[in-house]
Amino acid sequence: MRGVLGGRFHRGQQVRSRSRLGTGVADADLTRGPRAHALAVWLAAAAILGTAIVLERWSREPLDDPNPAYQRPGIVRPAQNSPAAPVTGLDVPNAGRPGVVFFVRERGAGELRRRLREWQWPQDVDITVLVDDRSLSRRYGLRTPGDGGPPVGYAVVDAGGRVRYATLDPYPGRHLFEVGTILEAL
Amino acid sequence: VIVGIAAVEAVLLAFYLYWDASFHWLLHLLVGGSIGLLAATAGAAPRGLRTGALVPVVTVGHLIAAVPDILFRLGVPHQHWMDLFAWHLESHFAPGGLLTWYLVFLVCLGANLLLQYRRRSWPVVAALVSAGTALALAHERVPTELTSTDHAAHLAVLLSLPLAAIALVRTGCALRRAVPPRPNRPGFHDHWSRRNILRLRSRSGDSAGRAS
Repeated sequence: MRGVLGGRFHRGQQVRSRSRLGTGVADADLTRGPRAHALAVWLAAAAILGTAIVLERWSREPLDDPNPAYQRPGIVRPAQNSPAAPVTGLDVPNAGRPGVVFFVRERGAGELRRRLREWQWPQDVDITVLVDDRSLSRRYGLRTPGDGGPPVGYAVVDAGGRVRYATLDPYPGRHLFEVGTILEAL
Repeated sequence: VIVGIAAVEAVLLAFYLYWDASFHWLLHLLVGGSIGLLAATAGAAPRGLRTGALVPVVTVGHLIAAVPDILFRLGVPHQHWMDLFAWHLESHFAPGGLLTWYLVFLVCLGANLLLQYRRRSWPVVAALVSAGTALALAHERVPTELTSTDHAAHLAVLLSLPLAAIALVRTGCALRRAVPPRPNRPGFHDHWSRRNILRLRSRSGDSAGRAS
């Protein structure tokens, strides 16, 4: 189809234009078809995109961030704007070395640990996995997931002990590549 | 062309679904598509030109908006200057999220169609205002800890993006007009036969057609 979808003129308009020389169709008739076509295009776009939005909302999970704009944003905070990581007895933060703190629920902890054992990090990094933790995750800046339970996600700490990235992620084991990208950007 | 565009959109959708990021696929489709429509519509409006194919325009806008995500998969994290790619970062924070950009997209599409079929140019202004308002509101909601750049300067640069896109489209239109169609080019005969029809109509004053 040419016209709106792929060309310069609407097909119906061309046909009417050619026939007009011989039959004398009035101007209003000349454009009625394309106008109806334009309305159909607009309604079709509204319906398709509206359906896509409904499907996207339907596919969200309880562990997702209620506002998806804050989930896996992919932007590393500038060091001067980043809060200091809470000092605990854990491996992270460790002065002079970057680290990642993973927050998981009991159900996904085994899979994450298995994937972490197999993963090759781009640099020397300290890893900590915390299960069903609420208080420390809040101090690392993780938001509350949709179900209101303990967050599932991770926080990346630079060598200076600052939290440069913190996000919810229902499947952190699947997205270790992203964690590596953030680590390399520190 | 349609098959190629469908293939591009399918690849983009698969890319985002693979990384569990369907929200971002839809967001950048709406934002990039809105900017593409806006640029095509406003770029052609002053001369009353037809704005051409809609689906390719939307897909090009979508592709531009997706560039930072492709770079991310190549190991380059997002940075604030990547808002040059159809407001890639700040568009996430618009109040109302996807619904807001959905409405903006429909306004931009409606403006394009009204210009094409009813020669109304005021919807272009409405589309510019709606997109600019959504962007300004999104800009105000960006978490300050994510940015190290000058907030006001960033907004000024962002708001100038549609103007730059419009200028680009108008330049493209001018270049296209400067090149005459080749006889072996697809659509050549349609183009020239329509021109001849219009010429005949203008010579005869359209009286023959109306009289009969």
